[in-house]
Amino acid sequence: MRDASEPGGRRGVSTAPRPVSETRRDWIAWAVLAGGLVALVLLGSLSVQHGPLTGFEERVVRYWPRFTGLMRAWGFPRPLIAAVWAAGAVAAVAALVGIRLAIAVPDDPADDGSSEA
Amino acid sequence: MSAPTALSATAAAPVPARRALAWFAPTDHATAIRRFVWVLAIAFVAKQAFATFLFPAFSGHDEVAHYAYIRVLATEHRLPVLPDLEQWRTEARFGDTPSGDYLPDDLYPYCRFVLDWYCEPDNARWGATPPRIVTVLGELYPSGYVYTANHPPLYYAAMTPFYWISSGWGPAAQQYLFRLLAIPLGLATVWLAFRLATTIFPGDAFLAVTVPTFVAFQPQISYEGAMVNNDIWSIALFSWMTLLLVVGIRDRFPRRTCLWLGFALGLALLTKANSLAITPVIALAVVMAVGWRDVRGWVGRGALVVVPAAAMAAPWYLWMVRTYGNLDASDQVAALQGWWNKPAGTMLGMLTDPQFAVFRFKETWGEFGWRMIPLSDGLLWAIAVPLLAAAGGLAWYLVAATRGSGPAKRDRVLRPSRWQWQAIVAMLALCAVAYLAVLQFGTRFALTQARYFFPVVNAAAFLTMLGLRTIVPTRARPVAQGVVFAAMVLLTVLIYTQYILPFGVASLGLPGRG
Repeated sequence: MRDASEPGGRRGVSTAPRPVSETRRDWIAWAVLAGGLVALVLLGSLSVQHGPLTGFEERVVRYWPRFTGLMRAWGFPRPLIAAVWAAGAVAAVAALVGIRLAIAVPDDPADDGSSEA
Repeated sequence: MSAPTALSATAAAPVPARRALAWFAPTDHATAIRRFVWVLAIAFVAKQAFATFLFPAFSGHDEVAHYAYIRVLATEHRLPVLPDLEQWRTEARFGDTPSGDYLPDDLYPYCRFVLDWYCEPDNARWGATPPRIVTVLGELYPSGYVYTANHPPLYYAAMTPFYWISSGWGPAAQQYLFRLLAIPLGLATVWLAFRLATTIFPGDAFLAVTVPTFVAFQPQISYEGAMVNNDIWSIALFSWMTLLLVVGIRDRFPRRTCLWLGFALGLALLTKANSLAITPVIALAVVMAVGWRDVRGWVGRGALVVVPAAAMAAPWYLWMVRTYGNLDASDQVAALQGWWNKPAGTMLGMLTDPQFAVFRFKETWGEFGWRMIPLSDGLLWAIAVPLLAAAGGLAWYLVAATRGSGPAKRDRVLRPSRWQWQAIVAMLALCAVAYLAVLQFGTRFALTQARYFFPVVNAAAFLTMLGLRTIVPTRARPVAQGVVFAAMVLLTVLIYTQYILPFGVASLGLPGRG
């Protein structure tokens, strides 16, 4: 573990530029996370045990797009269908960013609440 | 250690990319946590908006009955009333359909999502004139009545203006509007979870990140937060009271905190009767913080909580006594459900029955309202194993923090001060009391369910993450923060993909498809 006084250290407050290797590692981590999410959606679709969808193509290629058909069958207007998908996309991007930010939150060595007791 | 000659990647990148990268650069706790909470809030709201439309219309628990309550209040400007069974039978024997508050005819296509409504929507006769009377073993019972009528009115009153605004939309569209209006309450619950964690252990990154994350992505809390129901209101108000309890313990319940607590309790009692479960924990917290010897101190503070709460809730409970002769109409509900209801068991029997606990666990993570969407055993085990590990970690925490030895010397969370100990005890007491309330309901009704302890989700999330934190090595905690977040996201994706969407697709061929 890096020392708290180092740039980029968990407890440190860094103002120094980040080295290339660290940034590259960041992007690799992003790619792994995104790939993991996509893989999980595919795996999840493949392992569906119930429902009328069968076969690889039905489950993987057309599974989530089928949601559009479902919304049409429910009588949703086209702008609402677009808005629902937009909300899903925003949630997916925010979830990815959230994973990265969750790792980046350091402890606050100055505040342990004991003074408020 | 950064090499002195290393090039700055951010400096070399174009300006927008540099700005984007700067967002993820290491920074101080306050900045990092503020960014994280904003992104968590955006993810939560967008996810909830998506979920609102993913579940088929009116498929949530009691959505039809909640909607019917709102309609009675909005169109007839009065509260609905449960039928008195004996009086109803007398009228049924001598007339056509006894008067009363029934679920609207235009919602009969959704009858499979309703308790006690004889359901054959494809039958020409019942489709045209939905059934209102059924005969069971020679006895007459009402069918399709507003069985939520014994719920306090706050939620329904808050929805009434939105019913008026959307009166030309049709029931399904109005239902989606009411679902969307649940999202702010879910968001408030997530924010209160963050405040709870950072109030008890300020400055601890792991708890500040993982406690609100757990609440934001817990599948059933998310479900309640995108449904037509008063549960998410109850959960949000209970979460507010939970935070006020902790602040009160920390500051020895100053007058202002007591009054806020009384106000929140009043609102909670006007939302759902099970909010009463928090009152013994409020008493415990006040006595712990003030000291049991200071009788005047805790009686005075108790009065500051009880008086505003009682004054706010009194009109509703007086109306209940005048209308039903009791505070919750449970006698009337028991009579109306008499042909199928039986007690789930005795308190001790349910407490010691592993199957009862397992079923509550299944309902906590899946089933979704009408118990139509059970999760697989494999997924349930994948959820249970880390939770059991966290429970073990919590036990370890309690032992290690009591002894104050070993890692406790280096870890401030393992060295809780007196008030922090009391806050942890209050969280444990909240969870215990909420579970006992589930058991107590089961001594009379078969339909006791996990939903009734969801109001303590923030206390449960805090204790779970405190346990998990204990078993994660210090050096691994930053990564563990990300892993917890990723795991909750992945669980959501899995459940939506494997269970909810297939349920929606399968429901297309069924009555009440939306």
